[in-house]
Order: sequence, then C-alpha cells, then structure tokens
Amino acid sequence: MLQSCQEDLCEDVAYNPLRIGFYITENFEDQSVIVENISVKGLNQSEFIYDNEQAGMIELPLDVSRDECGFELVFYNEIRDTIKIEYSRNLTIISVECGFATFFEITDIYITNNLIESYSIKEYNITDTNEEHISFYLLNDAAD
Amino acid sequence: MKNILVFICLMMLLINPFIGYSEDNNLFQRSIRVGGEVSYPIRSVFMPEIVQYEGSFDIEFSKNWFAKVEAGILNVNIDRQDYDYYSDGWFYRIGFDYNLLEREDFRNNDILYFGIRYGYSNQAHGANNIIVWDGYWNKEDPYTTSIEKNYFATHWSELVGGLKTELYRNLFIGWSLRLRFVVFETDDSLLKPYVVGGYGKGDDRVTVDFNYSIFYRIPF
Repeated sequence: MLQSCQEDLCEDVAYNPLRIGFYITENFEDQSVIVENISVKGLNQSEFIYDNEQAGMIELPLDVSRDECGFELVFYNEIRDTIKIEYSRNLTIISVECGFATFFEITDIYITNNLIESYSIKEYNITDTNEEHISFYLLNDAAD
Repeated sequence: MKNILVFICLMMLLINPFIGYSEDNNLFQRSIRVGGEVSYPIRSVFMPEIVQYEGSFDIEFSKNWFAKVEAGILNVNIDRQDYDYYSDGWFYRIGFDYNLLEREDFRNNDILYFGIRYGYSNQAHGANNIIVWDGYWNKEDPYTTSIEKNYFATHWSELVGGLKTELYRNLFIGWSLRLRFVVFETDDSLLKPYVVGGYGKGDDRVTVDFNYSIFYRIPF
C-alpha cells in the first residue's frame, strides 16, 4: 500500500501538464466559461485526452521527447481549432524515490481562430504548481 | 597533514596582532578548536546513496569572537530502474561566531553562539538512463535520455546559532541550527543538483539544517 501511495505521489509530481482556461469577454470583462462539449487529442495521435467532455480548463500533456507538440480541439462536435506549442525542456530531479520530472518553458504558441479568438500566456513556466498557464478567449456567439 | 599544520601556523601568524590575553579579563585564553560533523555520516547510514563528510577549524582571535572555517566533501550515487544520478563535490564555509556566554571560570569553555557564514560549493554531476514519462506521447516507447557530466557552483550566505559543551577536558560536543540562502548559482537549464554539499537540497533557495559535531580544543 505504501509502495502504491509512493507511485501515485511520484506520478503527480512528475506529470506537469499545460493548463489552458477558457474565457469570453463581455462588456470589456473577462469571464471564465465552461465548454459544454470538447474533445482534444494530440496531432497525429489516435487517443483522445478529452472525449466529448465538459471543461472550464483543460490539462494537456506536452511531449517530453521534443521541443514542440500540437493538439486538435473540437468544440461542440463541429468547430475545430488546432494549437501548436513550442517550449524548452528542463529535467529536474524531484527526489530519490520519484526520480526526474520535466519542467517546461513556453517559447511560442500558434493557434487557429475558428472558436478561439485570442489567447494570453499567464505563466510561461510549467512546473509542479497547479496554476493556469494560458487563457483562451472564445468567440461569444459560438460559446453560448 | 603537513599542509594543514602549515595552514594553521600561517593563520595564527596572520591574526597574531589581534589576539592575546585581555587586560581586563584574564579568563580569555588563546585556543584553536578542530571538529568533525557527525550527523551527516549518521544520515548516510539510513541513506547510503548520499555521503557527506565535514570538518571544521576555529580560533578565538578576540574575547568571544571566533573565526571559523568549515569544509567537506559530498558524494551522491543513486542507481534506480528509471535513472542513474551521480555527483561529486566539495564545499567550504568561512565566517565568524560570537559567544554569548559569560566565562566565569577559567575551566569553563562552553559557548552559546551565533554567527554568519559565506558558503561555496562546487560539484560535478550528471545522470544516465533517465526514462521520462509523459503519459501520452511516448507510451509505446518511453523517452530515454542522459545528461552529461557538468560542473555546478553554488554560493550562499548562512546564519548559524548553536551550543558547544565541554564533555571532558577540551573535548566538546555541540549542535547548531543553520538557515541558508542561495546568493548565486550556476545558470544550468539542464540539471540542478539534487543535493548541494554543505547547503542542502539543490532546488531550494532557502534551507534549514541541524547538525551535531564533536570538537577538540587546543589552548596555547
């Protein structure tokens, strides 16, 4: 049981996903929104990270073997956006038990603008904290 | 050993103008003290992958004022299924201690002190066979990488407080509590040390440490 707890703890510490929050802008104010239906998978991947789920924020695993990766986001089963993230990687030894984890620093981001109107990078460093890194501002009409 | 004796003699010559029996208090006696840290070797019994040894030297150059040098070595060798990590290094700290206890008896040499240090560590470290999981992109074939041996330097400042008690004639045991702050370190985006010799955990900007030591005092 202790071994299992240790493994879970190590996985939590070693897994450092990119966190993206969804917002709309109304009357010049940003409001967080929950997307009622979203599917997400990595580019050229078959496995879905989110499969027709409801989400106000998504967590995307970055590719630890490369300095860039991309994702396809499908909103409401019809509106498709693609994002590409470029980053630098930094291996850090977490503890003797858990070994190494990869921390990232976002260097650039490219998006298509079908439902995603714009974005802002709130935190460039992706480490073992739970903060949001990027905000996506969605088109109001489509998000309703 | 010969070099150490030469170093001690040189130190005594250098500070000679500042030391001596105080005119208003003849309880002050010139002395040096050599010591060895014992908590690091005890810790390595429970965690044999991290081995650290440290010795110290101090001299009471003026009543209640001690100049102090501490130095040691660090060896880390961790061999796991998903990584191998190694680190070899050395470190030193230099600074001063001030004794707060009033000396009421010529034979009483206990001290309660606080002091400051400047610390420096230099280590070579690297890692092999690192298997990194992201849980999605490389499921079939986990990404394996290595980090070549490179050198990492750390500079820190330190506040220290503690007690040294005479167990037997000129033989002391003591503890100290230390608060350390990194001042400057090598800018290395590849790998930060797991442990910095004489400092503590490599990715902590502030560390707290508790040490036990034994000392031998040599009056002259």
